[in-house]
Amino acid sequence: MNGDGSSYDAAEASHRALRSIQRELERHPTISTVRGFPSGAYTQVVAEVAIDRLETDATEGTLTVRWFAGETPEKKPTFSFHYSDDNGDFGWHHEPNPHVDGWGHVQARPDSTATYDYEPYAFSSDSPARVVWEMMSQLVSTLQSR
Amino acid sequence: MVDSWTDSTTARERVETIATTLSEPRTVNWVAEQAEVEWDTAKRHLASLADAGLLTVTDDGQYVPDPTRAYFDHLRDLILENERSELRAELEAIAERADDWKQRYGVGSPEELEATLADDLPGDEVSERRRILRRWEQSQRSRDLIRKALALYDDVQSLGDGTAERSGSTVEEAG
Repeated sequence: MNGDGSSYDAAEASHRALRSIQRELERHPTISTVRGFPSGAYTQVVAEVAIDRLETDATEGTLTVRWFAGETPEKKPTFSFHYSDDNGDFGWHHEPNPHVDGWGHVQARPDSTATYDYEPYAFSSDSPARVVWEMMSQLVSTLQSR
Repeated sequence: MVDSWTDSTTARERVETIATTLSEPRTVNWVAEQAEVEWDTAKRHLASLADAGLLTVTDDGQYVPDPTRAYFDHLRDLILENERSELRAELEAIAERADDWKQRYGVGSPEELEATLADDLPGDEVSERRRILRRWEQSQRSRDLIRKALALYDDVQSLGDGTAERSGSTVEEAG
């Protein structure tokens, strides 16, 4: 490794990030199970949220995390942490979207037939492990305030 | 209330998690900030991780995951975390995706798809073909890695069995 990025592999970097996200989610007290898909080189991680540990009336909830490290090391990563249950779905996304300025935003809808509302959101980091804990804090707050 | 990252993890765990998932070389300062530890703490753990072979240090003193180590870690994870049937199913899914792309674009390989980018195509179509090209190349790398995992599967699994069976054996006996 010469440090100039010549051996950079976006797929490998993305997979490594999602492996880290899986490890952090497994460590988190409000997550019951986590799995990465597909097995060869993750493009997403899916986690079951331990709803019974939160004060919410949902019966089960799923968090789907996507992360792409970018074509080159200089490019910003695109990622999303999107939650869904029988009361609707919402998520924090870091990617360009025509509905909102900037890359970071929250999108939410009350059910699968409604349109999304969009609000800007500023992520405090682009490091996968830190983003996991930031997102889990946001997720728990949102679920408990619904 | 749910614990925060710093409540639930040690400083070393945070430094290791941040450092081993970097996609570009980073300074000690950067890692220390992300891991929420003092500079001295980050430096000490980064040096330890480099000594252990998980990280390499660039000429200008930045840290980045060792690509060889990352490759073998990935291979090991595939073998230990998946049934053989799951790996075979993944190979089939990769082959099916490739067949779909071959039919859709009338090509036989990613190289042939790349050659079509020189054609007179609308901008959206070029973008879409670039995206498929990246996915195809990624699928091929996954396929190659899964094939290697399957080739090594029995050997690696038996190593684990052997360790359990011979927990009291010496290194010489195990070797």
